[in-house]
Amino acid sequence: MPAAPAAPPPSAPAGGLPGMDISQLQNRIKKIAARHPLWAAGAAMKLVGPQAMAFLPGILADIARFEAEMETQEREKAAAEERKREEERRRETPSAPRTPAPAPESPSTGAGSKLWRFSKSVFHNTYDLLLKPIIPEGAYDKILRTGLILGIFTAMYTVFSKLGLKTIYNIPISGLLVIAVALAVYQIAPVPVGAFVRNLFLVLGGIGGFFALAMIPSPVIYVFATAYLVFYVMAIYFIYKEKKKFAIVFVFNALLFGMLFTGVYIGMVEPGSRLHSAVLGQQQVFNDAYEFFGKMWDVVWTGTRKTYFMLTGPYELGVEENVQEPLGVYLENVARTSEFISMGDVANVFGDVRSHALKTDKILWINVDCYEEGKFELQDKHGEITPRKRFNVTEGEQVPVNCNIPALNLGPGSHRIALEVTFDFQTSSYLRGYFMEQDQIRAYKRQHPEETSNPLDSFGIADKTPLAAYTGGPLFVGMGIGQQPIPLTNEAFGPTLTITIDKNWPEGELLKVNGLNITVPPGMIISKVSGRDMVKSNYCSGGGSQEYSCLLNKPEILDRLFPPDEKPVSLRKNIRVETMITDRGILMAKAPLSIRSFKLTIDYTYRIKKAQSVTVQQPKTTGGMG
Amino acid sequence: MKKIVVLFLFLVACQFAQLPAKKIPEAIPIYTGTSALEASFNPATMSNMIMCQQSDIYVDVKNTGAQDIKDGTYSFITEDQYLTPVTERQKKFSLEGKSQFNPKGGFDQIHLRVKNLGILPQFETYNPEIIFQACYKYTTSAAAQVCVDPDVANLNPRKACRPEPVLLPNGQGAPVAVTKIEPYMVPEGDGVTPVFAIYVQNLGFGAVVRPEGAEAACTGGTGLQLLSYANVHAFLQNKELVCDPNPVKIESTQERRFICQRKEMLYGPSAGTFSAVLTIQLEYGYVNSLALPLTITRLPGQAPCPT
Repeated sequence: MPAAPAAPPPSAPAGGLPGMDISQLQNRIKKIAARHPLWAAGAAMKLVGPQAMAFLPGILADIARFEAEMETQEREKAAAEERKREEERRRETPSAPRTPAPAPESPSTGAGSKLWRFSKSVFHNTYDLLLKPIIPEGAYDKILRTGLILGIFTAMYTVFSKLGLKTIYNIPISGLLVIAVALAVYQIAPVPVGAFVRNLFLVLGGIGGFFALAMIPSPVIYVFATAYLVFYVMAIYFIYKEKKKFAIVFVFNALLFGMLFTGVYIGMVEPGSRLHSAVLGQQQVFNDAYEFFGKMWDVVWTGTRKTYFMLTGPYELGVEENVQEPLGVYLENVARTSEFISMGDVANVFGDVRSHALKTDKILWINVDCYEEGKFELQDKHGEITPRKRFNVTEGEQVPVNCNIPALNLGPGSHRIALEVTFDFQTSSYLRGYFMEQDQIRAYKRQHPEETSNPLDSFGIADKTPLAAYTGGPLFVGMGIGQQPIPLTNEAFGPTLTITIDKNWPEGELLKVNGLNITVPPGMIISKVSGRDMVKSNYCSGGGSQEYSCLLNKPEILDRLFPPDEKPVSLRKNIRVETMITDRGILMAKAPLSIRSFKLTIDYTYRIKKAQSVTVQQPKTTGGMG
Repeated sequence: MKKIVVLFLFLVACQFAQLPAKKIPEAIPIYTGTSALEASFNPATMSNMIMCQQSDIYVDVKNTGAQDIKDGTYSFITEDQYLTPVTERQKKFSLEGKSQFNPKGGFDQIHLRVKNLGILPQFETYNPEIIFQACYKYTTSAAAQVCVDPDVANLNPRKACRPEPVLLPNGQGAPVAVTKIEPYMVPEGDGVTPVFAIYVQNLGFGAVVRPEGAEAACTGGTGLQLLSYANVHAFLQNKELVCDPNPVKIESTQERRFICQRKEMLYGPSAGTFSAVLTIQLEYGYVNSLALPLTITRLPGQAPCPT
């Protein structure tokens, strides 16, 4: 508690106070002076005056009232301290039987309560592990509060500075504001005002600091911003250990931060001002951070889901040919000409469509579109593509594309403009299979009972478990045929080929499969594809000494394999191809071992898109009279 | 007189001069080693080929074993969807083995021409394998001095020999080798019957099949004929012994043992202890395989192969 100005000790009144112990009265007034110095000074003055007797009953009544008040406060303080000690004891001995709490802080039960308790335990454990060893016991509150005050000071100073306030004025203004915050935070200020100012600053301090950080010209600003956010949340947690207040401050902060992404602040500040730029800059920073982490997440997610699919199977593997050389169509250098445009202007987003090694003689048709993200259905939210909306490319070409959307169509505020490229592409894959008579495999196994023995060893074959090889591009195509060598029995049933189709690029979507060409070696035919009979169908051709191929390019079969209501096609997809042996002689070619390939070519439509943020500024309002 | 003395001394001196050593041709070890047919792809083989083009495959074969190869079969296994043979890929062949007149054994070169039928669209290269197989009948002939000793009680301390195991570590000029012979004198009435435990192993780099399966191993035959068994014949004093098991299983990872004896071959104490030559013949089919990785390359912008 701070020291209050001492009241002048009342000396004995000239006429004296009959029946009164003067020194006892003086002591009582002194005690009250610590809390009510002005009253104490006045009382002292009255008691030394000639009319002391007249004032005495009133002064005594005040003294009794103040003493009762002080006694109540002392009791409350003692009770609060007792509660605090109890809480600390409970925290130190978590396994000890808990004494019933005076009042449950949160009566909520169920999943939400469990989640809260879990989050709290994670927070406490993190604190105990990381911060407790380096911060002395009891000091963390002060350190965090000090850090918070310094943060707010920096924030205010930066904001004022950016707003154009000269340093000579900025420092005292920021200083005064921060002193006010400090007083409030340290509970120096009178109770209702102090509590209000403290809460207000704790709510607004975070967003203020955020604005300040937004104005720092650094490409990794989001790192600082995120660090600040974490620090800020920690600070308010430690200041408000009581759940309800923390939750309130946290929710307020979440709302204030959340408004960063809705354009509310843009409407609040003068267009073109520094603060306006700061808000937009912050939005961009967050968008960039979102995209950056989104890309990282895409990579992590792609790997994780692949591993998951492999573990839960079936997921056939494949090796990408020529990994070093990119294959396919890429949307590169996507940017906007202006981040801020006025209502009469046009939002211009541009990029390059680059066709890397296509490895095909076919002409590749590209469709370009652009629209405001999330509003694809609205026609006026689509832009005009220049120079051409649809064009063809061959290998190694680069075509610049522009998207223009009138700002009027977009409306004021921030908008994400997506530039989208759709193209047809082809991916090929093959899997080598080694065929041997089952009797021969069994005989070999009988003679070589070792676990690792393989009949292919006797032929000097190095790669005894070949993986499917597929050409690069947007799709991954894996194939599997089971254990190698593939045994040939006396029955006509052949091996079953499993095809796995998945995304090869973290970005983009498979819009549609246009054709699937499955080829099996001579001497074999395809009997079923994912349970659909192929023998009686007219999709397949070849056979005899030629390869046997099924070209599935009609909607009646493709729609069964890739339901049309799934747009984009959900991946991964597994296709099972059942085969039959029609001519063992052709398949084996009078040799003890036959090396044959299963081939697959898939034609599909793929879509990639990249987005840019554009802000349409509201026209400056001209207010005032006349 | 003086002249006569000098001449005499000269002639006498010549008597003590060392005569040049007579060059006797060294006997070339024929029945040694553990190889038969040795095959390798000739460096002239075009292992890198251009899509739709032809390639020549050359295989050098030489018979470094002690036996001749007659009516052997060689075969090339190709991935027919990509490589079609232009020349015959399966043929009979014969190759002389090592002998005093041909100490290095017979040599030949086998040729195969293949044509590429194209590779999958979008792929720049394809790496098929060509497997060469040679299948032939072969024989291992081993001979060893063994001791027949009817004196099981060891009454005669001055015997001509003692029945002890005979080790044959260097092979007999064939991939399947007799590695050890253990003689046992089994008492039978007054005399003994010699019993021989013979150890054999495949020490070559190929695989053993039954002699009747030698051709089938290269032509896609199946059945028991492809199991790794060898027929056994053993002779002692020009009399054939009975061996069991026969045919014997041959493995490359461990020795296999069979027993040879002849019940009627009974030697009494009067026969005395003597040495004799035990001759063993193993007949089997042998398969050599080797794989050649090829690379088929599509030239930039190359059109599919004409059909």
